[in-house]
Amino acid sequence: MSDQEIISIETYCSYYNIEQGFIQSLEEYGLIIIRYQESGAFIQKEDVPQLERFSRMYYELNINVEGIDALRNLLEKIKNLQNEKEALKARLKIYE
Amino acid sequence: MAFTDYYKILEVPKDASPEDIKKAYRKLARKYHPDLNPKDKEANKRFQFINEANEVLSDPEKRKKYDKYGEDWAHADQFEKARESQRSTRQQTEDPFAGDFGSGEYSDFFEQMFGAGSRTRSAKFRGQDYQAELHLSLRDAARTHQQTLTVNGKNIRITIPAGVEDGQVIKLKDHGGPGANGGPNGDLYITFVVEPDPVFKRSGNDLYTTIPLDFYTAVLGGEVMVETLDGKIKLKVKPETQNGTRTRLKGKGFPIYKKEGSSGDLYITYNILIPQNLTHKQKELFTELSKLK
Repeated sequence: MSDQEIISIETYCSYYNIEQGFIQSLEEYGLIIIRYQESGAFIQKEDVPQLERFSRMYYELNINVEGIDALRNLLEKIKNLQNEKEALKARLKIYE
Repeated sequence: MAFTDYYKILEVPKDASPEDIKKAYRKLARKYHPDLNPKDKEANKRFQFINEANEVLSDPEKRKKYDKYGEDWAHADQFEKARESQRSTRQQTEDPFAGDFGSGEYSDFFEQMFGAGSRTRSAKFRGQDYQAELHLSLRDAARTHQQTLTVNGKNIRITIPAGVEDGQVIKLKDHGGPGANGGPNGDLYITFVVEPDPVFKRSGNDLYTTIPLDFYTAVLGGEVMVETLDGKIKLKVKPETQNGTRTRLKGKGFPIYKKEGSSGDLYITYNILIPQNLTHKQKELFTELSKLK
């Protein structure tokens, strides 16, 4: 994996002004994947939007990490149901 | 421009304490936050108002101004001028993440009273993600082509690959709102809206169409011209074809997204037309036929 695809947790936390402990908690709950290299701990850049979402839930909405985990599962279910609904709507159009 | 009742939006009384306001904001934010209401435009809009109400009512200076001139907002600028000379630095917003959604999108009422984007922040934040819709006809969605979009005054030229689906979203990195305090730009999300077609219905990569078939061709067999996305083709019809019979034309359906040269199938349903306004002679012949059963 090239260096351009990863970002160090230290850099991320200092940039966004959040605690590293929060990111470690997310990892403990399996919400993000941290890659450990000799030079430190890193996350993939493509995981940044997801991490930002979790950060907003934690800092803005006061939802703890257990709550974020539960919400993530529910949001995933909602997304699947929305996709299923769209597919069914598309099939129904055939008979309209 | 209508007066916006921020107390009503946060569902708190006018004498609510800062702690009550904070609690009410957090409670409503948990209900309407865009992260928890994906694709719900109504919730997103409501959250913007909640955010705006919180920004005003949680800032003692703004709250004071709002309480004094709220309903009489048109005179607020006089108040502003009088305050200008005394004003020191604005109070920094307490919540570093509050502005990530809807920043830069204040109601006219807010902008009139407080000016757009008046908050200051210390942390760097990625700019707001923009959402845009692009309407395509079914036939346009079936061919790779380029289109120019205008988003916030900027022209963006994109290539739309053949096979995009209704509701499909693509992300254009860094084409969203500018970041705060040197943060990166947000992204632009484009949702394709594929309009229904009068001839073809689409399900995944397959297309469905119904064509009229005259009674005699259905009974005796023959040929019929069928419209496809690539033009008309001649199709053989078997004798004694029943009404509602479905035929599949392999590879004549919708192009498969990012799989050049591959397409789904086209399903044709025959709608057999029973002859009308029969002549005397025709009636006689049909009667004769019916006796042969």
